Amino acid sequence: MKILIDRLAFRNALARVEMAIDRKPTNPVHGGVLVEAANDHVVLLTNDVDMAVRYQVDFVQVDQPGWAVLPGRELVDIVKDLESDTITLTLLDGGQVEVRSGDDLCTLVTLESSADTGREGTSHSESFPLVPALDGEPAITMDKGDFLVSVNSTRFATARMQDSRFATEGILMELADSVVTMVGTDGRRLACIRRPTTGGSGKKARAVLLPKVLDQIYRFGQDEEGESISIWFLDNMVGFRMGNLESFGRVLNKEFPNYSNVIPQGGKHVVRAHRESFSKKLRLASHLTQESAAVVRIAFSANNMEVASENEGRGRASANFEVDYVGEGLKTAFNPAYILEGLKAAHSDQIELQIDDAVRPAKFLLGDDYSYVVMPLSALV
Amino acid sequence: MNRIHALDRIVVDQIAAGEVVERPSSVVKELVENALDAGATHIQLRMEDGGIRLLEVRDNGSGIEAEDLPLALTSHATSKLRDAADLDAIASLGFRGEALASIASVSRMSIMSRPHGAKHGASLECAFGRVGQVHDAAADYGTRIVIENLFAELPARRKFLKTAATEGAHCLAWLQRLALVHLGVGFEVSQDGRTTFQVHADDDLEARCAAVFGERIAADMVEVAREDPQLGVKARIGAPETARRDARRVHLFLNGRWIRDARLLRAVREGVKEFVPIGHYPTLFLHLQIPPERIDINVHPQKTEVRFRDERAVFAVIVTTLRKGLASAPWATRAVGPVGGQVQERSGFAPSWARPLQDTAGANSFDSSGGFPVPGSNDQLPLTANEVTPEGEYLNFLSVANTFLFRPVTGGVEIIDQHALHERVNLEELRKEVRAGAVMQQALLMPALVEVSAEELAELLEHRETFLTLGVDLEAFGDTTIAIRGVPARLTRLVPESLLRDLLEIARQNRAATPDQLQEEMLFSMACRGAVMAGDRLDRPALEALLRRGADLPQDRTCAHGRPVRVFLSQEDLERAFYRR
Repeated sequence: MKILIDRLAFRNALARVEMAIDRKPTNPVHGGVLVEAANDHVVLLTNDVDMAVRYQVDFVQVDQPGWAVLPGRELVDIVKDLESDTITLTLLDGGQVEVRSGDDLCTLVTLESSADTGREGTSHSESFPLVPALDGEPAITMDKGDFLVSVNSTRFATARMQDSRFATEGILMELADSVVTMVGTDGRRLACIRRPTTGGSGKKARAVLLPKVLDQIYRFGQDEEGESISIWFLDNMVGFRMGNLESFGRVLNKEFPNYSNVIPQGGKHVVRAHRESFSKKLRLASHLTQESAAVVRIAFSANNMEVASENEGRGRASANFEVDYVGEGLKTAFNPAYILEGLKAAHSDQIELQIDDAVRPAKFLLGDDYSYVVMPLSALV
Repeated sequence: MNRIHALDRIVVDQIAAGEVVERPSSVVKELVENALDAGATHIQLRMEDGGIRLLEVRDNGSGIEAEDLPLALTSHATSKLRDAADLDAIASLGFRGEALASIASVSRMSIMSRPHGAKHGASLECAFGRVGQVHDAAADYGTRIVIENLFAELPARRKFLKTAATEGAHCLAWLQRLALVHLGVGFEVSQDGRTTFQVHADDDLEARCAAVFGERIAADMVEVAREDPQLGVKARIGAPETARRDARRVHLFLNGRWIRDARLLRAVREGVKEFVPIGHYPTLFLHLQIPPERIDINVHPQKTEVRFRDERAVFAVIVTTLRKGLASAPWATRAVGPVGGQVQERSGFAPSWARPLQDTAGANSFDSSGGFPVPGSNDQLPLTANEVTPEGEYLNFLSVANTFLFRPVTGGVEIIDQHALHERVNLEELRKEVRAGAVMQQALLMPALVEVSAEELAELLEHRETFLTLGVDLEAFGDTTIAIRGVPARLTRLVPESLLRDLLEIARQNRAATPDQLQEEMLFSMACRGAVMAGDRLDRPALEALLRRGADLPQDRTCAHGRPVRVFLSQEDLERAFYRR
């Protein structure tokens, strides 16, 4: 293998695959980056079991095809610090790869390599965990922007701790009737968003994904060419393709809560509020909550909402602002962080709160087909 | 056929000696106590071969009249007790009149004594119970007793003695116990010609602790006293980090008598709970003063066990005393102020936390299987009322291994364990809420369902009310499933299912416990479960928030399980590590 590659292109490619470098590999090969050169491009592949990323760099001068698994951490780090515009990678006899850039020279010991001609999409590696090719008709094609917004609208509501019964650390992705539903919940609040597909086989499908892969897509998807994303449901994996980026996420084999039962349909009280004012008042009040057990009390009456808090020993806050509401009013309490996170992800300037009473879940409509359910707090007296 | 006959007097004494004289240290105890009862102000102990070959106790006490010497070696002869009525109010250390006779029956003993004012002394020898004649002798004022060849004629007993070094250590330990509590009396020990222990008559308790526990430990001990004619206490408590798994550094005294009682040790454990790791005992000198008529020490010949008329009050006092002392002890974090605060010298403890003892009298009764009333367990643990310190300074820290936070403080560096701190923060905050009846509950969107056995289900539901006070809302969901509908709002990291398993475990282990005790145990568990773990990566704002929350805790030295929250390395410690000292 011998290639000449643009340094920035190579560095960007590595940034995309970096997240899937196995940090604590049981087999050292899994901690590497598979670099495969053929024709006029190079394909990079990393796989840490939870997710895999395959990225193709075009316009590469391939003098000699071949492939090598290079130590991931080291490769990423040295490429960051090389300065010349181009980099030459040369596989030497004896399983070493010379990385030359300008006057700088690094030699990396490969974890596995071959001078054989690599054909696109296939590799001869024996121990590096490969991923299936994304060919055939995808299950979903949809607007990339819609997909990224869906990720951003649900990701924050996922649980940080693992639950043994429910896969709440993951995000549910469901396809039915040309609509993709994504749901994130931690058992205390739940975010649910629906977006239409633009194509694909349209068969019903459902998977719970670890957020890691969605984070990676969210971070790099915007930069990829094309306006759409294609999604394949594979055996215990979901594959995503945007331009030259292919990401694979492991599917969680756990039940996901039945979200549709949880989302209330309508509410006795309906309050419409300006998102920005609501956020500001909440933030103001949350400065004077107990740092650990933040509680804000929310009371609304005709066209007014009061957000109040108290931190024993430090002080109290009360903020009022105008809302659109008619009715006898209601008092309830929430963890302000939960509402603030929802408001931050909201798509529209006006949000709507639907609530029955102080103990049942409150539903926030934060945009078209985007609802966010939060359980209120109650004081035990 | 064997006929019944009365035993020979010597055999009777030897049998009695089995209870009183087990090893050389028992002899030391008996003889030194006699010397103390005789009003001695200076007592010397000389040992050879750990006291097995020779043991000599010399005092400057009142001495024994020549004509009384033979009587001293007769069993049940004593100068300390006259009739049965005196038994109810024993003020002297010995009273049974067994010791000397018992020792004389198992060794070669010689007594030399000269009462004050007598022209000369007298001596008497006794070999394994065979008493000789009284002779005039030249002697100092006081009494000198020499014991040689202990158990030499009783091979069965001798066989059970350990090495000379071990026996010598036991002898020394007994003498130290007596030396700790008998202020105004000087003690001197020489072992095989070397002086190994010495306190002077005018040495105070601090000096005595230094002699017994070592200078470093003694310097950090804190004194707590309680003046009460019915139940007085004087205690010196070592810093928590000197706690050990065995109770060898626990010295409990009752009216000048060293006692060792499993129940009292339990009170000690209870008192140090949350301050030292579970199963550890502190370095402790604790002297109870109770009028003799309110106690019974005539339980065992060695008199190390006691019965109290008012047992619960005594336990309560031990527990409160320990808490008070530990709370104000200079810890590993010696002069450091609150977590997150600037360094300040600690002042005295805030005594407002302590509830009057009467409050606990009405609590549950003590029995060996259940718990016992713990004063103040529902109160805040006492710690220095720190002045409010300006924020900002503490935000200068370094997180290591996602576990430890290093921060420079005046005079050194402080290391904080993030899990332990979070656990303590959770505990204190939860406790405060629970006490105020203001626990906020976070209802769950969908109840967490946990499979349990029918028996477990019944057990959990039995404590439903207690759980509810903590913000945990449980409900039966069929015969073998429990539904958790709500969890405490502040524990956002809590996984409902593991919480339930813990609660079940606690309910089982504390069957006899009162709801209050159960609640306390659950608080511990929830605090721990809800805390970040060692190795959990926290971003800087989260760490800062944690430190800020830790800044005004009533107790911020240990986690709920007694492990340290923070350790202070002084400049001196650092210099030592770099051989600059």
